[in-house]
Order: sequence, then structure tokens, then C-alpha cells
Amino acid sequence: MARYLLRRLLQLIPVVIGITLITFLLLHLVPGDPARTLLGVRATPARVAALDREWGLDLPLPVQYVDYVGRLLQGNLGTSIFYEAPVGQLVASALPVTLGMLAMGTIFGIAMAVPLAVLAATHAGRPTDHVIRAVPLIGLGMPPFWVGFILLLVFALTLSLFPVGGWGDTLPQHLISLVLPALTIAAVMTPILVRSMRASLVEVLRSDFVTAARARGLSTWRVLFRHALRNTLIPAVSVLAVNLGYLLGGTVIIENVFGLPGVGNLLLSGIFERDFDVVQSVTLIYALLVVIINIAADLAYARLDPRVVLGQ
Amino acid sequence: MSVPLAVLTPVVAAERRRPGISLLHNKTLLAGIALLFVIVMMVVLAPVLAPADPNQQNLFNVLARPGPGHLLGTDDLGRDTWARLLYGGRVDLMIGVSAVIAPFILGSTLGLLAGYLGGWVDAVIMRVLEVVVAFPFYVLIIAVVFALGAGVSSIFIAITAVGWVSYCRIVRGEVLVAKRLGYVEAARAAGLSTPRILIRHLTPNVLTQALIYSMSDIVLTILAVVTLGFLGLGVQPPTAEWGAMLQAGFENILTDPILGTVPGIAVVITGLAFSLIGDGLAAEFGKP
Repeated sequence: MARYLLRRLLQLIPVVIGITLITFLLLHLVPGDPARTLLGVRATPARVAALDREWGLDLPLPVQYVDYVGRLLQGNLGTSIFYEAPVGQLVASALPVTLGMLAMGTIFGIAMAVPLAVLAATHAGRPTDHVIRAVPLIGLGMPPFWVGFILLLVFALTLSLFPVGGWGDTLPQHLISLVLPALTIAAVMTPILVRSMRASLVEVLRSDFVTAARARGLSTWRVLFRHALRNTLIPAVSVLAVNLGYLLGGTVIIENVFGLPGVGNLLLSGIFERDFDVVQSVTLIYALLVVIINIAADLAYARLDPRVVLGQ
Repeated sequence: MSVPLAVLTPVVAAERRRPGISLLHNKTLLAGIALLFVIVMMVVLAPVLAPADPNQQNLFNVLARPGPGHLLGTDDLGRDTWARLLYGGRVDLMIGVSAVIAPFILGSTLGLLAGYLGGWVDAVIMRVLEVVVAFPFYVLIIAVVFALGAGVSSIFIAITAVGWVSYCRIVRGEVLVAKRLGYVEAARAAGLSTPRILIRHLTPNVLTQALIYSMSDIVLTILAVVTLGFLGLGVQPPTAEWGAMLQAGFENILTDPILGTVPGIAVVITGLAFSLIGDGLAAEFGKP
């Protein structure tokens, strides 16, 4: 396990270099001069030149890149002009919100997908199955923020069961404010999960070990939950990992809809305030998160399935 | 491998005929095509179905309820919601479908090269792919649109920059299998040049999966365009577009829930049409 982890980390080096290269170049894609964009059209050339020098924008690109990576290696993610605070500090306070939402969303997603997949697989080919198989077709076309909008409309504005937005001050308040956003994530996740879990459950239910368990007289529920489901969780983990980038990206807009102070909202406020360091660093953090969670998924994969030998 | 041509021909002909006939029995595909046809007709016939000007403001009649004059009521600037829905559909459909063309071509070409040539070409393309895949879809799209400035051309560039990876992966996988098959080895043994093998022989055989995937990709792209519109980074006002309409709906969620509900349903139905077509194609030409 440790050797595998070390090798994966070594393989990551070119990827991480690539990620920093993209986030570095992002700033240079901005048409014209970022300093000019920030200061506005009426800024004097001297003021623009001064800011260029302060940001090191007058240096050759390779030198700027080396400086950028050097800063990152020291843990310096830059300073937000809008919040007047180090970006690292802003990210550190926003990250728990995003990760909490993602974790709760994953739990809800699995809680919604498992019964649906079990129902569909045990009724394969029958009307129940057909109805459940339509879930992904409709679900995959739903914009995540629109799902949030509908949940807000029904559960917060009409039924008044949850707050309309915000984050609250205490832990119970935090958890309650995460419910609707997490349900939104679950609604995006469920179609993806149901599709893969149903397919693998149908296959597992036909396999010899399930037939053997049934022959031993075990009840259907016992066979399903003790034997079959464990085997369908494995493909589900990898499907979630593959779609992680999509799901994590979806949280940006969901945070915006629910007014949660997570990393996504930090990114959007960075974009609207033209806060370059924030946009650059948050984009970098998102990519690193995907990379880290993917390794975690690999390890979980090996945990769930003894047949998986890491590194092969 | 010297099979007489006469023996092969009937089999090939029979195999070629079968999909055409079974297409009519493929209910999923037919349902998808029918639904898409209805949607396309509705947005094409927008001037007939919705005589109101989608951009005509009437500040004396804002957030009107649905009624005879305005089928779905009016928005916060007094514009006809039904007209904006249909004209907005034109914009989202057109961008959604056309924006997948560039990633399709770019990704398939790179996948073809990576899979067939292998070696350092493959290594370089795959490393770049790994880097792009590390960025969450919406994060990279939003960041690129931010850098280039809001608008349609930025959407096209952002979606190409992000979207090519899926096609590249799919086609590369197909090529890795196909290049060990008889017809490619035969073409190579016959001394055909690499570009000729790639273009004339491999391409037609490896693109099916990419084409099937492109249907899901259109759904994803429409969602991305709508999301950017919602954030104010997409198609710029006053052009009617579903994302921008949803934004207006969100701002008026308390007073007029219809405004934010209807464009979302339109997105879902459009997504359903393309998903059905994709599933139908997969059942027809996909792998078992």
C-alpha cells in the first residue's frame, strides 16, 4: 500500500506541474493587461507600470512561472484584493463548507440510489425497472442550479422546512443549511449512480455465488444486502471518482444558489471582482482536490474488493 | 486470409442491411428523434408560435400572470416569457450542438494519433489529458470564460479546451483495439501509408463510440451554456437564452415562480431528447 501510494504520488508530479502551468497561463489569457483591467481605463500609464512591476508582470514569462511555483511551494497562494486577506486563509475557511456539502451530498446520493437500483435490478425488465431507468435520462439533463432552485421553492419558500440560504453560526445550523444543497448534489449524483449500480446488480444477481447463497436458503434481503450490494459498491465508487470533476464543478453553482460561503462562491466572487489571485489559486485548489480524492477512491476500491491489487 | 470474395459479400451485405431495418424497431431512438423534431420545429417556428417580440419591454406589465395575451406571463422587464422561451431555445440548441463539433474533431484526432502511433506521442497527449481532467468541468469553463471575457466565442473556446478529453479517451481506446484487428494489419502489410490507414481505414471504424458519446456531450454542453448564462458569463443580454431567463426567475422566485421553472423544464426536455437518441444509438451500434 505504502509503495503504491509513493508511486502514485511520483506519477502525480507531471500532472501537478501541468496544473500549475494552466492556472499560471490563465492569468495571461486575460486580454490586455491585468493591471490595466484592474485599475480601469482612466489609470495613468505610470500607475499601471507600477502595478505590473509589483506583480512581476514586466518579467519574461518563464521567470514569472518559476516565481509563481516558488511562491506556491512556500504555501503562498497570493493575496485577495477584494477581501484584503491571504487567499490561503480564505480557502482554509471555505473548504470545510464545500467538503461538508460534498460529503453530505454523497451520503444522500447513495441513500437515494441504492433503493432505486435494488428495486430496478430485482424487477429487471418489468415496469418498475423501466420507470427507474428513465431517472438517469431525465436527471442527467437537469442543470444543478435549477434543481437547487426547485428545492428552494418547495422546501424553503413553500414548506418553510429549511433556511432559504446562508450558513448559520452554530454546528446544527451549519448542518441544516447543508441539507438542501446536499440534496441538490444528490439529485445530480443519483442518475449517474443508479445507472451503474443497476447494471452491476443485475449482473451480480445472476452470478453463481448469489445462486449458491439462495440455495443455502438465505432470504432475498440477506442475499441482497450482505452479498450483492457490496459488489455493486465497487463500480459505484469508480463511477463517482470518474464523475468527481463534474460533481465538484457543480458545487460551485450550487453554493452560489444557496449563498454558502464555500470555495465555489469564493471562486465566483473572485471572478466578478476580478480578483486574479483568488481565481488562480482556487482553480488550482479544485484541481488538486480532484487529484487527491481520486487517489482516495483508488484506496477505497482496494479496500472494498480484495481482488484489486494496487499498482497492477 | 484468402477468403473468396463471393463468400464474404452476402454476409457483409446482410450485416449492413440489418441496422437500417432495426432502427425502426428501436423505440428509444425513435422517441428521441421525435422529441427532438418537435423541439426543433418549435424553435424554428418561433415567430409563428409566439408572435410577441422576445425583446420588447413593457415596464407597465412586468411579472404578469399567464393569460390570453401572454401564454406564460411576462418577465421582470415585461417581456413575453413564451416568446423568450422559444427564441432562447434557438440560442441554446444552436450553441449546444455546434460547440461539440470542435472538441469532437480535436479529441478524436488526438485519440487517433495517440492510440495508433503510441510511444512519446501517446505519452505527451495522455499527460496533457490527465492535467485537463484534473480540473472540475465547470471550474475550468468558468475560469476560461472569465479570462477571455463573457460571450459566445469564449463559450466555444472554453468548451473545446475542456471537452476534447472525452473524445480523445474514447477514440484512443477504440484504436488500441482496432489496430490489432485483421483489416488494419492487412492495410499495413499492403504498405499503405500511416495517414492513409488512419484516415481511410481506422477513422470510419473507431468514430461510432465517439458519435454516441457526442449526444451526452450535447446535453452537458447545453447545461454548461445555461449555467454560464445563469451566472451572467454566457450569452449577453438582451438576447433571450434559457440560462439568463433562469437568472431572472431566480431573482423573482418569491413573486413569480413560473419564470424560473419553465426554462428549466425546457432544458430537461431537450436533454431527454438527446439522451434518448444517445441511448438508442448505443443500443444499435454500441458495445453489448
